[in-house]
Amino acid sequence: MKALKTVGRRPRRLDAEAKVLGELVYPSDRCLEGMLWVEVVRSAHPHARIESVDTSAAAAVAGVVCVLTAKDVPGENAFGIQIQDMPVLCHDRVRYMGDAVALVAAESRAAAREAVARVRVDYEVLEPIIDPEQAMQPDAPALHPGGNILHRGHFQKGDVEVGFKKSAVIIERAYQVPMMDHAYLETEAGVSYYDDSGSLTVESCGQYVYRDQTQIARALGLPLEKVRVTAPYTGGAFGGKDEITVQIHLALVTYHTKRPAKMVLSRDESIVSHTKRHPARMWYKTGASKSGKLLAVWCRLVSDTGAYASLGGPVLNLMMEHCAGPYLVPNVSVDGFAVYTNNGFSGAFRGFGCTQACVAIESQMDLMARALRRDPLAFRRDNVLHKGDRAALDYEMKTKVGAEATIRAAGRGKLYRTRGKFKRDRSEHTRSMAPYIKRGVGVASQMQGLGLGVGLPDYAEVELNFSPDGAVTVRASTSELGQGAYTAYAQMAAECMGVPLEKVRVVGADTKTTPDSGTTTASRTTYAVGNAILMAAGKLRAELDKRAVGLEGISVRETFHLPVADVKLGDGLPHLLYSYGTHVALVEVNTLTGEIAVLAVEAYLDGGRVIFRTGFEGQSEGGVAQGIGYALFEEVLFDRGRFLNTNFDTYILPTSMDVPADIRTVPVEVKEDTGPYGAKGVSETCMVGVTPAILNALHDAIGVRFTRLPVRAEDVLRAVLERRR
Amino acid sequence: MKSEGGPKKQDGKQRRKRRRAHVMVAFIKLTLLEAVTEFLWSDGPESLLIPGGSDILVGPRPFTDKHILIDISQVTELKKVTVGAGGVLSVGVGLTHQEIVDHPVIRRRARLLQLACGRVGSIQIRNRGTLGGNLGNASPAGDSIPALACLDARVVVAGRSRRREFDLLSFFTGPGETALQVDEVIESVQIPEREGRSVAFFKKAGQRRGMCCSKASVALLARRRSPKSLSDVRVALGAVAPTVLRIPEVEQVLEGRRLTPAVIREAAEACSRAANPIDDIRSTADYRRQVVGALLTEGLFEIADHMQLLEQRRRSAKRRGRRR
Ligand SMILES: Cc1cc2nc3c(=O)[nH]c(=O)nc-3n(C[C@H](O)[C@H](O)[C@H](O)COP(=O)(O)OP(=O)(O)OC[C@H]3O[C@@H](n4cnc5c(N)ncnc54)[C@H](O)[C@@H]3O)c2cc1C
Repeated sequence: MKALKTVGRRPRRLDAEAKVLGELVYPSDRCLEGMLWVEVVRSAHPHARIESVDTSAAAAVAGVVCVLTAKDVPGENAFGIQIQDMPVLCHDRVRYMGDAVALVAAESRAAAREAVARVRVDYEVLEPIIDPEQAMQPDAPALHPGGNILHRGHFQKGDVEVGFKKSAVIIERAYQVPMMDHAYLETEAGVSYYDDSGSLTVESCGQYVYRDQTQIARALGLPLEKVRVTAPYTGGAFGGKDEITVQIHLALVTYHTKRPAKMVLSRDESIVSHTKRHPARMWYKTGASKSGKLLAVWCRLVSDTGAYASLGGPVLNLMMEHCAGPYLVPNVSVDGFAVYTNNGFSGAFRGFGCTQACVAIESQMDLMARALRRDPLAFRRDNVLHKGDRAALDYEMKTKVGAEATIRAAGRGKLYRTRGKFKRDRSEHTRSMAPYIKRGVGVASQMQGLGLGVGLPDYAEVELNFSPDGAVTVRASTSELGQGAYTAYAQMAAECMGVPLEKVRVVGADTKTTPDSGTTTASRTTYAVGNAILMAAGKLRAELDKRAVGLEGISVRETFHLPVADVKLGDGLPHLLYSYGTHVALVEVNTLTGEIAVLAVEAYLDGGRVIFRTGFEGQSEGGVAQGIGYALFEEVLFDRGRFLNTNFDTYILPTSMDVPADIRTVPVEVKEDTGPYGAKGVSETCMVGVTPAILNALHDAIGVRFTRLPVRAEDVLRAVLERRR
Repeated sequence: MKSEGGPKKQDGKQRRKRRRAHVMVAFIKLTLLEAVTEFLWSDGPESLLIPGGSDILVGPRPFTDKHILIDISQVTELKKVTVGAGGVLSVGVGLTHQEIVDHPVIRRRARLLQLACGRVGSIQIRNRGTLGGNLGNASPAGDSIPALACLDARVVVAGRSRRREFDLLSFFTGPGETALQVDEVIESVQIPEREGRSVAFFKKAGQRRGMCCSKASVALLARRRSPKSLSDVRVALGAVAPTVLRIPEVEQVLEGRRLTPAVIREAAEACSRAANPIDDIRSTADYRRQVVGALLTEGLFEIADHMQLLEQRRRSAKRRGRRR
């Protein structure tokens, strides 16, 4: 193979200069001549019947142009990525505190806010359904016509009873993981207007402009071509902007007023309204033989999807798919439930179900290794999946499996190899304090499906243009959420067109000017868009050989269809391709105060060949921060369906002081045969393993197994005092 | 600005009306203390002093009934640090936490205040937030307050042609409440001189390591009496009661005694007993009670270790001296 010129290097990000200079226009920065401000009247109760909505006082506020309610939704008053069970504006019932009941559009934001306070909604308050187990009971009041179980699954491989009979160690634990907020820097925002050609245009923050277009058109009863959606740049998403947020509301206002409109959610409103990471309870029973072979994994997974479906079904599917981690297990039984409640609203979030399952299975792996007195990495290595093995849900792994390579690389790493030295070091503490300081090293390994999986349309179309001055333009409809994907696209285009990077431009996420490249989710864009770029480049080069470049250059389009597994077990189930990763974490616990510090993390990540090295490391470091947040700080709290912490004073995120300076990211480049230059994706794998690695390090440090996240100083101190008793 | 009339009372109804009516908020900057007190005399009830804004601007409902914001960050009188008669250190409350941390005179005379101010928020917050704001906000979790309590500080407040002085802890009347009147401004804190060699620490437990309010905090100030014991001990706790507390029980345990592990344990237990905390969204009463003891232990361990080190150095210096 030819030596690569741009792929795998560290170019400056395409958007670096504009971002550093503050010139890049984010959705919340947009201002249009004569625009209206839109504010939402949200539910006053987690669960209630709407008796009446009186907008007259609101409409009378000076500056208010319109107040819209359910009857003003011209099309289908429903949306949702998979099942359209969520009203654009509620008419008879509210199911969570974020539900929208009315919209106000006014000349100023202050007037809009004032009018919001004057919309009078009479409710018949209903008992909130807050416990998923109770919600599942047949006699529980139903939140949706089909009952409260949104989705259930059962999968079996072998016979777990036989497996447990043969097991020398059996570990049983129940795990509980919290609702997590995406905490993107930029809250949901956008503007809407009629463009020159008369299309109702929404410039917003979404992760898939073509699906947003469909959802807007359906709600407004418009033909698709009359709706245009753009979302090239947004200040972070992590899955939280995959579902519709402000788009339909904006479009509705412009539709009714014919005027431009703008929306920016406040942080409190953002936290109350958008989808979160599913809180889940996970019961696990796992067994292994005396010689350290995994024999059985049994688990029951209950995921609380909150008020509406969004991606609750597929998230549960991935939770089940990844329930046994990257290991070969002869006997598996998994039952999964995704249940409606009035606890907010959950959906896509980095890891997409794997995150939850990984916390449980990697804790189990650690506990089993301990019980068997085996080295935790060696125990994992001895049970790891290989190509050709049958995965937990009993299908064959048909692509390269990098799990073992990442485990071996982690074992060779400094942190693990010399962990004894790291654990003994007390040099930061005085002599009397030293005995109260405990350190531990933990590991966790994981796999993460890439792409949407079987049964969901998963393709990427791109357009490549070669202009007479030798410049190349890539047009793709995926969004730049901060991850650096556009730079990776440009690198691949430069490489395969044989032009310098400076000659490549990326135009993104506009249903009018860019072809449908699919979602900006599921670790898929570098892989999917990259492949389409490679295909288009081949075609473009062939064209260039055939004819001269005219004034407008030559444009070609190509569509790449993601290869999928040859079995279908459910929506998006299973995957053909996976990314892999092993994390090693060093933690320090002050057993006097219970405080935890994460001192170092090493990440060994198989995302295939690395295209944009700085972007890869950026993802990893962000993933470590988010994994620390999930392990130690973050939790959306409720009191009977009411949010308790809707801002960052009480929803605690890790700061730069809580994230170790010492993060080492080591790419383990197992080149994927179907990947562009051998690339896969890394944007989820880089976070998922961090949390259980920290839990395992905590166990190593103080001998306590935490099964509920986040682990706070309060929990540590309680556990330490209990053990002393 | 009106020239006549004293501070006016506002009844609840009026206040509510104002909140609804979206009054324009005026923002003015004053640079002379006299101008500030003059202004407060006439428009006190409608005005809000805003030196750094780091409490006000993130508060739940900013300036609901205040529609004049007075920026006092450039009032030079509030930024003065002087040493007066009898060695009393006067620190202007207009100083930011970082200015306090960096001030050489405060370092020599009130190191404990620096230790506490150095733990406020983050560098950004320390560059904006002021001592006056920390006192004016009157949170039981305000980090400067336990330190000032140990330092026996007095608070000086200024009104139009009058001054009042408070004992620090009597200045706070409840969580978020002070003895300050609407026409007064906090001017300075007065810290008496201390004799002998001081030891001090400030410890806090927060929900994370940076940018966090104290779930509980402990300040200690004492004199190194002998190589092994402390005298004139002062201990104050933050965030474990409606206001900051001085803890004489703990002070008595430590007074004059050798810092053995048993004495430290006794002090920590007394500390936990004296705390009167609550459960809230940041932590639990149980944890707060335990952790004040833990923080005290940690601080005393460090002092004991430090004193031992000094003692060893002194001995070996003596030995070397003898050899020579
Ligand atoms: C992210 C973050 C982290 C924080 N962390 C900490 C922390 O760790 N520890 C801590 O103690 N605090 C913390 N705080 C709170 C705050 O920063 C401090 O209390 C700071 O000292 C406030 O000072 P300021 O000048 O910004 O006050 P402002 O917000 O400007 O004012 C606060 C109040 O005091 C009144 N006031 C101010 N000066 C005077 C005066 N001279 N006379 C009369 N009244 C006056 C104001 O009118 C107002 O009511 C934090 C705040 C934030 C936003």
